[in-house]
Amino acid sequence: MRVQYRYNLSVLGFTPQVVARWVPILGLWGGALGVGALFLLEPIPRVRNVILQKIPVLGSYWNRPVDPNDSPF
Amino acid sequence: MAVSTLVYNTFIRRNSVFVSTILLGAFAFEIGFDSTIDKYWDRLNAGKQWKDIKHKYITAEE
Repeated sequence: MRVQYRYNLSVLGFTPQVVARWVPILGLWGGALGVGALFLLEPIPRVRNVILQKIPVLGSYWNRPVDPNDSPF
Repeated sequence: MAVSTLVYNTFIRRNSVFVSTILLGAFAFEIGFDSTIDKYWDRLNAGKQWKDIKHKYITAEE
């Protein structure tokens, strides 16, 4: 029987099989890096007001309004 | 036996998920520990901190 050859696309050596295998794993690692960044940047007010307060259940933990009479500015 | 297998398969097998679990655990512990200790401190020092006595020093609202 004659051997059938098929074309396998590749971009710079990355075939669809390699991409389909590794992209979900890289996605999971991106998530891990995101959680790590949030954990390390938690004290920054910008991060607190823009990102952390918006979390549904636990967001109220970062709602710390300062009475304007008490604020030093 | 099955519970440990389930835990292993969902949280420990993939290193990315394992790292995320550890970081989320640290985050949750920080929130829980800080709020618990803050409440304990406030209870220990009730009536002495500014937030407790502030209402006595409010003059006419400007």
